[in-house]
This record gives sequence, structure tokens and C-alpha cells, in this order.
Amino acid sequence: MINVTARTSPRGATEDRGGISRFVKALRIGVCAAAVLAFVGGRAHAETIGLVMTSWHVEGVFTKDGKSECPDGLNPTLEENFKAQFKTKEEQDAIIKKYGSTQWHYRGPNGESDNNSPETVFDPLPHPEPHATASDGFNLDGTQDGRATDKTCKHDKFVNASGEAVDNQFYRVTGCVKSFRPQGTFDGFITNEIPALMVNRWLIEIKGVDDRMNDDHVDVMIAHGLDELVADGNNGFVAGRSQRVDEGSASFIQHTTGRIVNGVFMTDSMPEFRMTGSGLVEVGERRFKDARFKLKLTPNGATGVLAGYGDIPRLWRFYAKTIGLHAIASTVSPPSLYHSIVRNADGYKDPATGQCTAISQVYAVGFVNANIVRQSSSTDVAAAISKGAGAVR
Amino acid sequence: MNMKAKLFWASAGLLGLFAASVTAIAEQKSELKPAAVLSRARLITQPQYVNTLRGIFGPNVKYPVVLAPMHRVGGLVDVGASAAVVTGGALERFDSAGRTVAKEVLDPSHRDYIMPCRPASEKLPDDACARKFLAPVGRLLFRRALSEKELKAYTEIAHAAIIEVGDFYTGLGGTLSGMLVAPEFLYVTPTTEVVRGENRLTARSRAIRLSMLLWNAYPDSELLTAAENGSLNTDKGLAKQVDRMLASPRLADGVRNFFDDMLVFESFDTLTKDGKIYPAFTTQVTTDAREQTLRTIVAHLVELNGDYRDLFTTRKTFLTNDLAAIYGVAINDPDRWAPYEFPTDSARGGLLTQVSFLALYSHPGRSSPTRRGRAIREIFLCQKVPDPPPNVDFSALERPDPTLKTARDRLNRHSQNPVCAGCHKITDPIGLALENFDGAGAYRTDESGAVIDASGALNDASFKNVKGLEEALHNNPRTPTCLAERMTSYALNRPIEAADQDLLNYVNTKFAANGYRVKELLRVIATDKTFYAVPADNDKPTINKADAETVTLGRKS
Repeated sequence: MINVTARTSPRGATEDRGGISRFVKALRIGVCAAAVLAFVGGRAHAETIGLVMTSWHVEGVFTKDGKSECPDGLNPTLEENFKAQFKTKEEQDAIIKKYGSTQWHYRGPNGESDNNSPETVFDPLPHPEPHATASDGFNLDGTQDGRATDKTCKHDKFVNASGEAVDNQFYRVTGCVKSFRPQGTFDGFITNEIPALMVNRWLIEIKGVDDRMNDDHVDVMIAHGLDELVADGNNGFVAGRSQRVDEGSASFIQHTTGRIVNGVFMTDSMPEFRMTGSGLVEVGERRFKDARFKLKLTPNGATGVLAGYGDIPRLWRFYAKTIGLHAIASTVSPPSLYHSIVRNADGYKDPATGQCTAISQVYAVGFVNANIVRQSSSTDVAAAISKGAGAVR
Repeated sequence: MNMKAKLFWASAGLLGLFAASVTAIAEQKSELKPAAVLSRARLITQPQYVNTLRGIFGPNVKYPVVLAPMHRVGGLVDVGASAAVVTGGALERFDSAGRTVAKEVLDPSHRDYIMPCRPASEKLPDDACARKFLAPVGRLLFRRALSEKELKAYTEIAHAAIIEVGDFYTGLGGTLSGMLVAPEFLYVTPTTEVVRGENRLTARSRAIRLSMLLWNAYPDSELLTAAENGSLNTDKGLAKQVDRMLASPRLADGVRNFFDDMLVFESFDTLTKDGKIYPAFTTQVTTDAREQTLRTIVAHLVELNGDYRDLFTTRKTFLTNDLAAIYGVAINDPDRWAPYEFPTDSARGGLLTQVSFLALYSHPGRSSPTRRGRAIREIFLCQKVPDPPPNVDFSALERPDPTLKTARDRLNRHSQNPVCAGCHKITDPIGLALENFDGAGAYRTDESGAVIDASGALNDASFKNVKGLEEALHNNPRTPTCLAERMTSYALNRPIEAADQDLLNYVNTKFAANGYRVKELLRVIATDKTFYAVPADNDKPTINKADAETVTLGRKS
């Protein structure tokens, strides 16, 4: 269905005494325009599914106390590593006095920041990694056992609920880090920031759906959105609200194809997928190579995963800007995270060095249904009928 | 604001009551003696309060007014205002509202354009400037020019208050808040006069009655002037004012408030839904649903000058993003109200399929064909449906047999009780046609896995689905006559009685002849002599008798 409605003026209802007449004119024009657009519109009988993202977590096994997947314990903090690196009070005070910081970051050999130059600092305390073997995701490297190939590095595979071998090395980095775990500081901030910060408004539009259970070809658009999420009465978010595509951020409007198998929607692999995101109220850009979504469609939305390789420098830029910047509050030590990422990197091997330059990541994501609105598809009409409507509130 | 000023605002109510008494004292001493007073005094309603003050001080001032609720009489709260009394609690709300509004009006952000003058000093009295403000405002609040004694008294109060608090605007605001709790402002009491042997409403009371009908507010300055110079007592002068007021944007306020009242929309103030069952039905949806219907009505009846009956079939409306989520449609500009037309194949059309009606006449967790059917009969057809007997067994509805999947199944079981069956016969066949909409107003095709049968009947008209119900209500001859009856009652500010039949016949004939245009219905009533008629023996305040006699007076042919 094509909906054509007015872009309206910001005046309030009670102040807009002449507005109703403009409403009516707008309505008349809008009706004609809707009829025209319906005539020239898209595929007959095909459905469009719109989704807006509502949740984002690292995918993997997270039990309540973490003992089963993290038998070596959870991560030591920045403070603990600082005090292990500089053992005496005098050494610690000297560093702090020298660099004028009480945040323990400037502990590189030449006073480098452990967040901005993590390659210069090596934490003395071990960074625990999970022993769990289960994770959802995709088989990104194409191997069943994670062996090294021309393009990938050797790593252990995870197994998803269907018994398939999948890649999720980023879980090895973060699975035993308190802040990334459920209810952890970083995870908790992201949960709150998804509705609160517009940078996290991400939309998926699945077009040409002939059958919601099985369709071997659908067209997909993923884009940044402009409209708020509204909490519903059931600890979730209201489904079915209209969400405008951020037409001004054209480089973030991305197209791909996909399919639906037994009610599970999957995109084809996208060479590079870009999205913005936040953490600890800092914002940045995430990029995924060979990115794919896999989402179980539900009556009100979808849940599933986004997987892909993260280029290490860019990936670190995001995490340094978010969790690393607030390392004390989020009880992480940036160098431990960084070196774990490098150590576990499994994709995009540099043929010259043999070092992998990207790490497989899987995020558990949730969506509710949305009616996705493209302003460009009806710009002329919207302009024509843009007069008169008052502000909502 | 200095400490004295803060304390002043806190105690302004006392000053207000004192100031309010000025009018009463001054009136006692006045030489103006009305020939007679009609029996019915009406208390100002909340919409009238806001509309009146907005007309005086403009739309940019905030009017966060919550007055005490009133009883509904004859299907309208506005009519109930004639039986309302000001209890201690109600006076407290008037006092609070008056202080809030007075403070807003004289706030630095508004007073520069509201005040006709600036005081010589903001810390000292300026009686001349105070008079320039109080005189025109008092005239509009009390619907008559203040006497010199009154004006002098109010100015002296302001003078004393300004000295006390050391702030001109605070002292003046206290005086204004006092005027806003004066009985002269809060109550409208019709007055009559004898002219050439004919007992008639005074021109001032004619103006008030006319303004309350068309704008749901007290008269503006131009209408008061027409009353003061006598032109409102002439057919030509009256027609001129009616034309002007029907063409005014303020007509939308009057129509909006009438329908808000008729549709029992004050129930939205207490409407709740089970968040587990209807998670999308947020508080904002409650607010927007009410507004959607009122916008639809105003656009259709006032701007389009449409046929009233088409309100039950029109697919044109206005939506917000919160509402669009319930309706399951997209809107292009989610930030604002947007015009929207449902497609021809949509089940949506008319007021009955709007979320406001569907949700208001449902239970918190399920739909209610009975409530919906009853509301249609009582609100749109002016028919009274009896309340259920006190000992009725609701178990078939509240603890249903799980094999009874749909509301129709459950109501059929419930209605096997002959005590229940009688009333359900007149409500359920109507309400069941709306079963494709759940208790929040969202569309559905099945309930508990069973396909919904939305067939029904309204009297002799049978239909297969809600479209048929819409058409049946549109075509029902009682639909427009019910509105005309309500509007006439609203105009006369009393319930319609049997003796009013001649009047109703006349109004209905005119309404039909004018294509069921509500603006024309208002014009017919507003220009008819009966609207301003005075009972011959109105000194004997027997309401029914007085009402009955109004129809014996002449009217224009």
C-alpha cells in the first residue's frame, strides 16, 4: 500500500485557527495523489515488511554468574592492571603526577594513552576468554573447522542451534568482560540508548514478500531512521509506527537482497555494511564486511543476529571512543580488549604478514514492525499538501 | 519575583474572594433593576472558561485549567451546567485556575501585548493604567461594562495590593484573579426586560446565549457592542452577528466542544487499557484518539460544510504516528498531525471505526459489542438503553467457556438468560458489526483463531459487516434528528421535553432542507425567536412549565 500524507506545518492546533481549511485542501490533493501513486505503484500482491531496531547485544553464551562459560573468571579492571603494572604507590603517584591524569591511562613506555595507542601497552593481568562453544551467527569463512585459509586465520568455530559451524571471534574478546555482559555497564547503556539516541535508529525494509514463511527472493533496504521509538505498555516498544528514512544520509541507505526460509529472513552477504551506533552516550560508526542479517520474523517484529567482519582499526576506533573513553566506569582495560581483538582476528588476512586484519562479530538484535516512509517517493506530493496541519504536541 | 510577590500569589485567593465581592456589593447599589430573571443560572464549563479567556487574552497564554466535573443531563454536560453548584472543592479549582491564568496573563512574556499601557513604575501603583486594563477585561468577563463604582473598587484593590507587594503586575494580577472567581464571571444568569408589553431577554442575555451556542464562550467585544447599541434586538442586526460568528474561526471551538460533550469524551480522562493485551495503546494514543475524532468532525462539518450523516462513512481523517500504529498504516510526516484517507477497500470509515469510539466503548482487555451498541443507540440515535439489572450473571463473559472463542459466541450464551436477552437484542446486533476491531480499535479478522462474523442489524436494516452498519446509521432517519435534538437542547441549555415537539419539527425540517449542514442548523437555531424566548410566567421558576411554553412563542417562517 502506498500512503501519501502531508508534511505539515509546526503550528499547534489551538493556535492554528486557519489551519483546518488548509487541512482540507491538503486532504483533497493528497487523495488524488494517493490514487495516482497507487496506480503506478509497486508489485501486486507482494507485501512489504518494515522493521526498526530495538535491541543490540553481543551474541554468545551468557549465564547469570558466568562460571560455566568463563571458568577463568571475569575481566580485571583498568585499575587492577594499572596497579599490577606499577606495583608501588610511589610508581603509581609518579605516573599520575607526570601525566596529570588520575585515570591511569597514560602508561605506555612514553606515556602513550592505553586507549588511543593500545598497541603500546600490555596489561600484566590475563584477559579471560569464554570456553563456550555455542553461538548464533553465520559461517563467514566457509570452513567447518576454522582452519587457516588464504584469506582467514585459524580459529575455533562455534556451533549454532541448527548444528552449523559459525564464526563469532568477538565473543571470545568480550564474553568474559563484565561490561559487555547482560546488565553490564556498556550493554546496559546501549540498551537505554537505542530508544534514546536517534543515532541508533536503524530500519530494515523487506520488499516483495510473496510469502512471509518462504520466499526465495526479497529486496532489502537498510537505512538510518528519523523517528522515535515509543515504549509500549508491555516493556517493549510500540510496533507499527511510521519511521522515516533519513534521506539526508544517503550513504547509509543500503540495498541488498535476501530470502525467507521457514519464517527466517536472511540477507545475502553485503561486501560492506555501515551503521551508526552509540555506547556510554558516545557515538560512532560501525562497519561490517561480508555482513548478513538473519532474523526470525514474528507477528510484531523480528529477532536474530547481524554478523560480519570488523576491520580492526575501524572497530577499535568505535570501541576506543565509547567503552575505552569510559574505561573506569565500565571496568575494562582498553589494552586487554585491543590485544584480544588482534589475537582473535580471523578474517581478511594480510598476505604480507599473515596477520588477520578483521574479526568476526555477531550481535543479537531485535526489531519491532514499522511502516517505513520514503520522503523521496512522494516529495512532490508532500510539498503540494504540506500546508496546514498542526503540531502533534 | 520578590518574596512579597510570591507570598502574594500564594494568598491571592483571599484577595480574589474579596475582589469578587465587589461586584455583588456594587450590583446591590446599582439602579439597574432587571425586569425579571429567568430561573436558570448556568455555571461556566471548562471549555467555556478556556474559550472565553483565550478570546480575551489570546492563544499564546497557557490555560492549564482543570475545573470540577459536572453531571451529564439529557446527554450533555453543558446542560448539566444549569444544575451545577460550586462546592468548596469546585471553588478551590476555580480559585487555582484564576490565579494561574492571571499570573500567565501578566507574565513578562505576555503582558507587553496584552496590557494597553505601561505603568510609570513597575513597583508603584498607576491607577490610570490599571483602569485601562480592568475596564475592558471586566466588560468581557462580566459581559457588561463595569459601573464606575465597580471599576473604582477594583482599581483601589489593585492599588492596595501593588503597594503591599511592591510590584504593579503582581498586584494587578491578584485583582484579575479575583475577577475570575467572581460569581458574575462564573455564572450566567439570563435577564429579561419588558418592552412594549413583551417580556424578552435583554440584549445582553441574547448575546450571551448566541455566543455560548456558536463559540461556546462569552461574547466578544463586537457582540457586546451590538447588544449595547440595541442592534442585536433587530432581525438584521442579529443576522449580521450570526453571519460573522459562523464565519469566525471560533466556530470550530464551539462545534468541537459540542461534539466532545455529545460523544462523552470526558471519559477519556479515565480510560485505561491493559498494557499486556494492548501494548500499543499508550497514554498518547488516548489523547490523540480524542483529538482525531474532533479534528475529523470540525474539518467535515465546519470547513467542508459537509452533510452530518457523512461523518459515519467518511474515510477522510487525520492521524498521528501513535494513532497510525494502531490503525496499521504509514504516515509521511510522523512528527505532526497529517491528513489521511483510508483506501476504499479499508474497513475503516466514519466515526464508528475510529479508535476513539472503538476503544472508549470497550473493556480494558477486550471489545464490547454491548457497550458499542448501547453507545450508538444512546449517543447517535438518542435512545435510552436500560442499565443491566443488579443481579445479572456475567460469568459467560468474564469467565467464558474456552470453546466460546468469539464475542458473538459468548454473548449468545449470556443471552440465553431471558433477563439479559431483552436488552442485548437492542445493542448486540449493532455492536457485533464492529467486532473486526479489538478493544483498542485495531483491525482483526479473527478472535482466538475463529473467524469473526461481523454481520448484524440496526432495526430493520441487516448488514454483513461494518460497512453495512455505517450505511445503516448514515441512512437512519433518526440519526440527523437526534443531532438536531441534542443541538437544540444545547442551545436552550436544558433537556428537551415533549412540549418541544413543534420546535423540533421545525428545526428538523430546516436541517433536512439544508442538506444536514450543521452550520445551517446552527444558523436556524440562532436566528429563531424561540431561541431567545422568555416564558410568560418566568417569575414562577417552574422549569418544565417554562420550557413547555417556549415553543408557543413565535418564530420566523
